Amino acid sequence: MDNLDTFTEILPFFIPLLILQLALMIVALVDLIKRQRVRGDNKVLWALVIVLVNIIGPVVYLIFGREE
Amino acid sequence: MSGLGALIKKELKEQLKTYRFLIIAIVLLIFGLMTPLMLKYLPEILKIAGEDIIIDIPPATAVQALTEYADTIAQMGVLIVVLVTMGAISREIDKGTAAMVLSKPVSREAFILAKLFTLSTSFVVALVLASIACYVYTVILLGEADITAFIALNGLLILFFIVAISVTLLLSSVFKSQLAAGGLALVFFVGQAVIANLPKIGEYMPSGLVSWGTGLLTGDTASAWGAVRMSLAIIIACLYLTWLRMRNKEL
Repeated sequence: MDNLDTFTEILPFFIPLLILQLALMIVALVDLIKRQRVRGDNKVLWALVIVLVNIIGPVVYLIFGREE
Repeated sequence: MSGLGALIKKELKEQLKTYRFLIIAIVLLIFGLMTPLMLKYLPEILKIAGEDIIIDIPPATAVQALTEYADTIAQMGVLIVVLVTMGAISREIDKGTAAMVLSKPVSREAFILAKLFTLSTSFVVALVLASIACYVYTVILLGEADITAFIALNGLLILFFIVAISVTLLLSSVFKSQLAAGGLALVFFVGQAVIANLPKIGEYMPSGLVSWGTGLLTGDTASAWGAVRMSLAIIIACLYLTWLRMRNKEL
């Protein structure tokens, strides 16, 4: 079995995982865009954290970044 | 215990609005799916990534996947419990919402129990989803496993999480700083995990719940009722101390 075959065999199983991670990221980003004020007053930095730090980034933003 | 129903409703709404439930569910689901996937495919992923190293890992088994799931979910779960609970009481006192809520005809015990109940419910729902996802993936990728033992294991995990929620709630009522409450809750869990390795006293640590659960998967008959009793005692003691703390607090 060459690499491409392995890849196409594995891929479908990873799709739900990717969707979950993407969902978390999108929820955090939408909240960030809508929010007037965030902790630390730096929306760009939060956006980078959400996009670049897998799973933990969006979670940390949603718990600490939002300011009511 | 007046106002419990109304408070639970309010807390459930809050859980959804502040994304707490979403975070708990998605993170547990991700680790539920990831464990069997990684066990099955990690050698092949390494192969695709290049390098012709021959990796000699014996093929993974279903029991191995479910055991690893339990250990990962217990660790990540406690971390998530601490993150979503560490401000549960101190934040409300700080923002003044606790004073507002408690000025209505609701008792302080209802205030505490409503928080424990809704957080626990979120984790139960999330764990049901994650365990189903993990079991389905495990059966598809690695073969059959004992479902009764797996259900029992998840029941023990729930109790483990409720211990974590109660401990963090208590710390959140004691410390104004969320980080102090969260940090100490983690220290508590690391501490009990270390003690769990000691003879005699180790049997009574909440971690024993998880090892009992994973033992069930391999047909190990050693039970850990000591850990169950200790966990229940910790939950009750934490709730009582939280109540004492709230009763004496000027809001």
